[in-house]
Amino acid sequence: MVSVGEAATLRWAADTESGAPYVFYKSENMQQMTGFEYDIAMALAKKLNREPVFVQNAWEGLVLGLESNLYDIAINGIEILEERQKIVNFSEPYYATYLQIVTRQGETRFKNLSDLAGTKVGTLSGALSEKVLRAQNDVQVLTYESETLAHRDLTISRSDALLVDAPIAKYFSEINPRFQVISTPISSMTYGIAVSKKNPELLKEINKALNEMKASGELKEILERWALWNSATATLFDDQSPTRLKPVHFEEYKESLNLERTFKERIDVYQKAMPLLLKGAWQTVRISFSAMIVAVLVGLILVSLRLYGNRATAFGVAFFVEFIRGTPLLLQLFFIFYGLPSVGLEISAFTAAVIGLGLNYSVQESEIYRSGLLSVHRNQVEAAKMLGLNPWQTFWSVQVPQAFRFCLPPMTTDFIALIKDSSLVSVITMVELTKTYSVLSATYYDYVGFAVIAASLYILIGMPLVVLSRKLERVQA
Amino acid sequence: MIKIHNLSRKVTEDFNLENISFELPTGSILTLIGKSGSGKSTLLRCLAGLESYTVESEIKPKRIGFVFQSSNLFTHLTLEENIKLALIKVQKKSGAEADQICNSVLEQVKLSNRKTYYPKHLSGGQQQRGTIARALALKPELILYDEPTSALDPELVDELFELMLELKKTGLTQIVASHDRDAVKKVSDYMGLMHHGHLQLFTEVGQAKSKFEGLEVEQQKYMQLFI
Repeated sequence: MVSVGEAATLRWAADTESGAPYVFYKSENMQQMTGFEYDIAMALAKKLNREPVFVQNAWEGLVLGLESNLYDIAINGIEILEERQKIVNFSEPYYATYLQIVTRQGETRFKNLSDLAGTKVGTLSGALSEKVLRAQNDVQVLTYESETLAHRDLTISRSDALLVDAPIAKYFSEINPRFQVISTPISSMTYGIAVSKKNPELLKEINKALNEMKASGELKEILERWALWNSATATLFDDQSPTRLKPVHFEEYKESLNLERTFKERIDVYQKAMPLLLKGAWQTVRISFSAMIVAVLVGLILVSLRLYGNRATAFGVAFFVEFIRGTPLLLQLFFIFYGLPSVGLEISAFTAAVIGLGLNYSVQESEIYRSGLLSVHRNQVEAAKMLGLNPWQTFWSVQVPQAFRFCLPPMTTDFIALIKDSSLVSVITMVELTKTYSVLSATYYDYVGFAVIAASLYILIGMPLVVLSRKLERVQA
Repeated sequence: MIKIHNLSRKVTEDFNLENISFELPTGSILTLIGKSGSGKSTLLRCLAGLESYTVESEIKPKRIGFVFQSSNLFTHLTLEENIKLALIKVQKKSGAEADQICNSVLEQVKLSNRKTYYPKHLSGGQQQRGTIARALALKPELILYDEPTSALDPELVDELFELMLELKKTGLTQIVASHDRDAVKKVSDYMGLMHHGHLQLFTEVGQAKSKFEGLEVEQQKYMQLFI
């Protein structure tokens, strides 16, 4: 909802990691976004007379983000499905397509869906293709977060085939000589633009704009340029006119792909990508160090309550500890970021990330502090008591300084683990180092080279902690 | 004057005390002897307030110092800081006052030149005297020692006794739990024989021999080591 007086923007969301042809970065120019849905989003914004603003979110979180009002629409190959329609509204479909089987080059076993029985088939998690596969008997379903990884596993025979949306088959499988696409269309689906149910006005506007684009042929032209126009869509739009435009973008994409890069070309690519990687690394550092501070403070509170509180607080602490320890960090992040807004608490992604990671690690920290405190000799505490120090003074003047020495090594380990766990925050729209790596590796079809760089950056981020910790240990000794 | 009437502790099977009663004049030194497990340390800790107990009536000073068998001084603070910690935080003395008191007690225990040392750089005997100095700084009326000589070299034991006798001159009451035979002979005014949680015998050291007869053979044998 745009209120009077606010500048009119159209915040649209997609996951750039999902790659071509949907929404992705050009490999020759990492700042430039492209894709057929990018084109559609830009056209819509123009028609609605709003400023387009892009919001990156992980594909699994796209619909959730709408509910939290992080953006106005989500457009990213989201199939219009009944269970999704219970949660969000969909525009009129802007594309109709189907699934196809992808196999290694030279494979002859599979001609249709039933041939897949008894094999391992990969697909994207959460997509319609996953549902279709699971409905088959005797198929072992392997789900992936990215097309690149799904294809990689097919290459090394971890899977026997893939079942993917036709556009993916065209842009990932067909153009790669290692794969072949079985042309038989399987099932059918339509993509729609997801809009929050709280925003029926916007839905009307979007549909009006889409219909205009269909009628004028603008939508068809976009799809043609991306080599995506098919008979299913022609039927959907009721437009059987012949194809006129050349698939310019598809050709551009094929050229840019450059699957066999020379060493020098690869070094060039790494150099070009460094600013992005450093940006991602900076996010990782910001998030991790802020979360560490939260973890230490909350950890200290937890341990004081546990050791010196009354029955009621001890119970509360125990409950909190078991809850945090017993549930996955990923779920906790989801809960804080997507769940809290529904009870009126809207927080930024950064705050949610810091709170989520911080609380999660506070529990481990409190256990470290507890064992550190228990290692302090009983006589030290009793001596303090005999000198008249009260428990609070004893805690801070005697126990904590001595316990600190014992706590340092496990704390360092804990924080390095936190830095690595920070990679999870990509599911709540934060683009940190691991997500940057994923997007880059998908764009350039290079997972090893970028992985080495990303891993080195992680080690560098953790270095100061290790050095500081060793220094402190020596001082204490 | 310290007056204890029927002090008991029934918490576990092993650390029980039953109906302990005695009277100790101010400024005297009492040594509690007895085999391991007889309750010497437990009684000491009860008097200090470190363990719970029941008692019919008791008169004892408010400010009590305690010298543990080991690990007394705060390891993360210098000797000076150890002494000044409670002065500043508990007695709310100013920095200058604390300095003055600190220097004075260090002189008393002859550790002035070790003021800035950390406990790990002090010998066992020095750590103990440091602990005593720290307790003295708060001006206690009673000091309790739990096996103070167990970890000391023989030469240092005499040094400790010397210090205790000097402190006695300032009117300080002292109670020692000890295995050490010399503790009774060289330093004590009173002795208490502990056995299975009972105070079997409480007497002035000079009159110990006359109370001999009333004891069981085993205990007589034990006492003989001390007098």
